[in-house]
Amino acid sequence: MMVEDKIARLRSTFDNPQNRAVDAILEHCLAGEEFVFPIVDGPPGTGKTTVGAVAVAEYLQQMGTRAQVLYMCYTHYAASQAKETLEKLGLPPEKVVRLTYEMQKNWEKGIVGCRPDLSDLSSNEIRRLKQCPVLLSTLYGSKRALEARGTKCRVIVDEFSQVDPAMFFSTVSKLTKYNPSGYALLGDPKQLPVVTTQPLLSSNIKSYLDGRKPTPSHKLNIQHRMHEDICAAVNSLRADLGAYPIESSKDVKDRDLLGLKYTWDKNVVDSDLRDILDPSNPFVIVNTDSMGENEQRVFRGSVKNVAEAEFAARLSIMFQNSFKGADDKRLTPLILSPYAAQVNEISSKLPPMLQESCLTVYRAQGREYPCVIVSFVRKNPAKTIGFLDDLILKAQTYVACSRAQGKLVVLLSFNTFLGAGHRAFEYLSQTPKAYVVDGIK
Amino acid sequence: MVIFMDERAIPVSWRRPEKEVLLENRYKYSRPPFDPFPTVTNLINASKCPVAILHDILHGVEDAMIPLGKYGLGTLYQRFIAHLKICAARNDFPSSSSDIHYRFETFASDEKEKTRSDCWRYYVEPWCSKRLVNLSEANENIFFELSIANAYVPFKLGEKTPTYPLRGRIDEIDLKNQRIIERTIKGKRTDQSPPPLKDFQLWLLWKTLSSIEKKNYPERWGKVNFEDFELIVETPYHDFVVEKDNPDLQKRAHVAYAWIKDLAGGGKSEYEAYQHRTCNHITTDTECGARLACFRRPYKHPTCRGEVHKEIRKFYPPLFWQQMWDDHLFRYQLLMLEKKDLGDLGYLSEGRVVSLKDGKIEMKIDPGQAAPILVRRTSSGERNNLLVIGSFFLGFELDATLEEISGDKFVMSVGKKKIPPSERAMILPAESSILRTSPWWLSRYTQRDLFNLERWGYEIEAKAKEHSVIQLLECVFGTKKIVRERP
Repeated sequence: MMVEDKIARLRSTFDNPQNRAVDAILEHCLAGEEFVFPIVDGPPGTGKTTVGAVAVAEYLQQMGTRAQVLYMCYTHYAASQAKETLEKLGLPPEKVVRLTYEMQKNWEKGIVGCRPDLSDLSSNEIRRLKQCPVLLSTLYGSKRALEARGTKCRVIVDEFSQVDPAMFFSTVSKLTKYNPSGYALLGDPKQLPVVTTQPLLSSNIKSYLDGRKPTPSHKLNIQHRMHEDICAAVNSLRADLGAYPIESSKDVKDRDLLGLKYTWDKNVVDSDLRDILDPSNPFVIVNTDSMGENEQRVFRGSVKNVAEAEFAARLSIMFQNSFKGADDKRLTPLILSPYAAQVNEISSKLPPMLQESCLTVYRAQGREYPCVIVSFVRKNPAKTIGFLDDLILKAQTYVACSRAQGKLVVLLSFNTFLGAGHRAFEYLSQTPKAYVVDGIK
Repeated sequence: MVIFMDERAIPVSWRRPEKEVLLENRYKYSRPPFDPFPTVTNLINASKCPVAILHDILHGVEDAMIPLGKYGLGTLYQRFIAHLKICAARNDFPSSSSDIHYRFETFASDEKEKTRSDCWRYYVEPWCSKRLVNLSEANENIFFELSIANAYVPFKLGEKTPTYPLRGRIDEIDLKNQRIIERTIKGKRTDQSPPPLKDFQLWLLWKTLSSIEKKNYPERWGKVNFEDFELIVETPYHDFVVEKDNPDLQKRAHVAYAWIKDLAGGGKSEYEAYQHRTCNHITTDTECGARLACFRRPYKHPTCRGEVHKEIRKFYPPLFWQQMWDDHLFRYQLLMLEKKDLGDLGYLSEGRVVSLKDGKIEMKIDPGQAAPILVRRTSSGERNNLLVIGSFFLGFELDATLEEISGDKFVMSVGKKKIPPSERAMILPAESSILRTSPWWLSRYTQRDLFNLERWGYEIEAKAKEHSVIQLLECVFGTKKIVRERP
C-alpha cells in the first residue's frame, strides 16, 4: 500500500480531536497576529505518536522533496519508537534517519552515529542527511539534526512531559539560524516528569506556558491500547493526577489476553495462582502482606523486597508456561518496578530468556505489552512509600499501569499503601472490576 | 584576620557537604547545602575577571583563557607532544623535523585542515626546533593528563591557613627529572615571562598535588616527594620556571575562591561582578576568549527582550545547582567518603587488573564488589564506566566501556592509552550515566544556549516578522496570542 493510501486509511479511522491535531501540525506557524502552536495532549494509547507520524508523512507529501522534519524526543528510545511508527506508515528506513552519539552507521536502516558538529561525516554523508526528509534525535543531541537540516524544516517535540522550559528554550536557541516553518509538542503532561533537583526546572514546558498565558491543547481521549478494566485502573490514577478520564475504543474494550490471540492452559498453573492468571480478570491486585519480610534498603536509596521479587518471578514463569500465542510463541510478560534494585533482584531470579523483560518504569515509557506485572516493593510498618507519593514522581505508578494491553497484575502491600493517605493507591484499589487476591504466601 | 582585597573580604569559609549529604541521606533539592568543588580553570577565570567566572558558572562559557579562533588547537598540540614523548621513551625517536611533520599529519588526520596547519605552523614546529634534542630525556616515568584533587588544599593568608577544595589535570609530570610541566600555546618568541596566569595555574596544580597525603598516592608512588618538583610553564618558544613561594599567588587564590563562592550563591553577587569587570567596551581585552559573551549589541527584536532576559536568567542558578548536585557532590564523595560507603552508595566497584592489551583491560572483581556495575547494566542498560587507575586524589581517569563478563572477569575497552602500572583500579559510573539526574555537562550546554538566545535577535522589523523563533518568543514572553490551530 502506498504512503498516501495509508495516511488516508488512518485519517478515516481517526476521531475528531486526532484529525484536528494533524491539521494543526500541518499549518504554518505564522498566522498574522497569532502564532499557531499545536500542543497534543495524548494520554497512554491515544495514538499521539501516530498523530505525529501521520502529520509528518502528510507534510512530506504536501511539500515535496525539499521538505524536512526534525523530530526530537527526550530519550533515544522514544526517537527509535517514533522511527518505527514512521516506517510503519511506509516511509523507507533510509529516509527516516535517527542521529545518535553512538559510533554506528547504518544508512540502510537509517541510523547514523556522529559527532554533534558532524565533523566525522564525509561531505557526501552530510549532503545525504540534508536531503533526508525526516531527522530524529534527542533534544540534547539536537545539534546534530540542526547541522544536517535542509533548507525548510518543521520541528516536532515528542514526550514533552520530560522537557523542562530551560531545555525547550535551549533547543529553540539552536533553531535561530534555521527559521522553522512550524512547531508542535506531543505528549502526556501527566506522564514521566522532568527529573531534576531544582523546583524551578521541575515543571514541563506545557505547564510553564500555561503559567504564562492560557495555551489551549488538542486533547485526545480515546485510547486504543488497554482493556476497559485496565483503562478503569488508569482512570483512577488520572483522577488522582487531576487529569480528564479517557475511554476505550471499541476494538480494545473487551480485548483480554484471549482477545489478543493467546490460549491459556490452566492445568499447568499452580492452584494458588490460577485466579491471578485467569484472563477473564484483566486487572488483578495482589496483596503481598502475607509474603515474607519487609523491604530492604540498598544503595543510593533504592529499595528491594525479596519476597515480592520471588513472587513476581514465579508469576512471570507461570505466565510464560501457560499462555501460548497464535504463532505458538510463549507469552513473555513484562515486569516493571520503580526501583532499580528490585529490577536487579527480580532479574536474578528469572531464567536467562526472561531477564530482559524486567525493566524500571522509566525505561518502559512509550512501550506497550500484552501482560504487565508491577512490583511496587515498599513494605514497612511506617507506611512510607518514598517518591511514589511525591507530587511529581508518582506519575511512575500511572506510567507503569498504562503499559498493559490485556492483563495487569499489581503487587502491593495493603498495610503499607492503603489507609495511610496515599491517595493514588486508594483510588487504584477502589477501581471497579479490580480483582483482589489476598493471603498468598 | 580578614583582609579586604579588591573589596572582597577574604578568607572565606568553605562549606563542604556534611556526612548526611555525602551519604545521600538528605533529599537532593534546590540549592545545595555546600559550596562548589572548583576546578583550576574556575580559579583562573575568577582571577582573570569576575565576569569571566560569572560566565563560567552561570552561562556555561569557560573560554576566557582561550583566545577567539584558537579553540581545540591547544588540545591537539598537547596530545601530539605527549604522543611524541611516549614514542621517544620507547626509543622510537623522530629522525628529523620532516619526520615529525609526517607523524603530526598522520596523528591529526581527523582534524580540519586549518586546525592542522595552524597547529603545526604556530606551535608544533617552533616547539620542535627548540626541543628536538630534549626528546632523549623522555622516559617511561613521564605521565600525561594526570587528574589530581583534594578537598582540603591549604592556602596561607597571614597567620592563618584556610583550606579549600580544588581539582585539576596536570599536562605532564616527569617523575625521573622531578618536573611538572604546564604546556600552553600562548606566548611569543620575545616573551621574558610566562603568559598571564599560566604561572598561577601551574602553581595551583602543584599546591593541590603537594597537599595530598602520601597514603592517598597510588601504591607505587609512595616515595615521591612532589614538594621538591620543579614547575615549568612551557610555551612553544620558551620554558619558564615558576617560583613556588610567591605570596601574590596565595592572595590571588583567596580572592578567586571568594568570587566563586559568592556567584554560586546567586543574589547580588552577579551585579557586583559586573561592577568589578576588568575591561569595558572601549578598552576591551582582545586576548579574552569570553569577550563576545560580554560585549554584544542589543537588537530591537524581539520586542519583549526585557521579559525574555528576566525569565531566562532565573534558570541559570538552578542549572548550576543541578551541576553541583550531580558532579560537585560526587567529587566530594570520592575524596571524603570511605571506599565502603562509596560501594554502599552503588558507585564504586574495585578490582584487580589482570591484563591490558590492545586497548582492552581485563579486571577481576569479587562478586561482592560487582553489584554496582551489574545493577547499572541490568536496570538502565548502562555500559559506560569511569575507570580510575591510581587513587581518586592522584590518578588517571579513563572512559571504559563494559564489553564482556565471564564469572568474576570483566573486560572493558579503554582505547589505546598509556596507563601507569597499577594492580588496583576503581570503576565508577560514567558521567553520562542515566542513573544520575542527567549528565552534568548537559546543564552547562543548556546554560550556554539560553545565554545565546536571550542576546540573539534582529534589527529589521520585516525580517523579525518572518522569523518563527522571534515570533515564538513574542508569543511566549510578549503580547502575541498562541492558538492551537487556525480559526
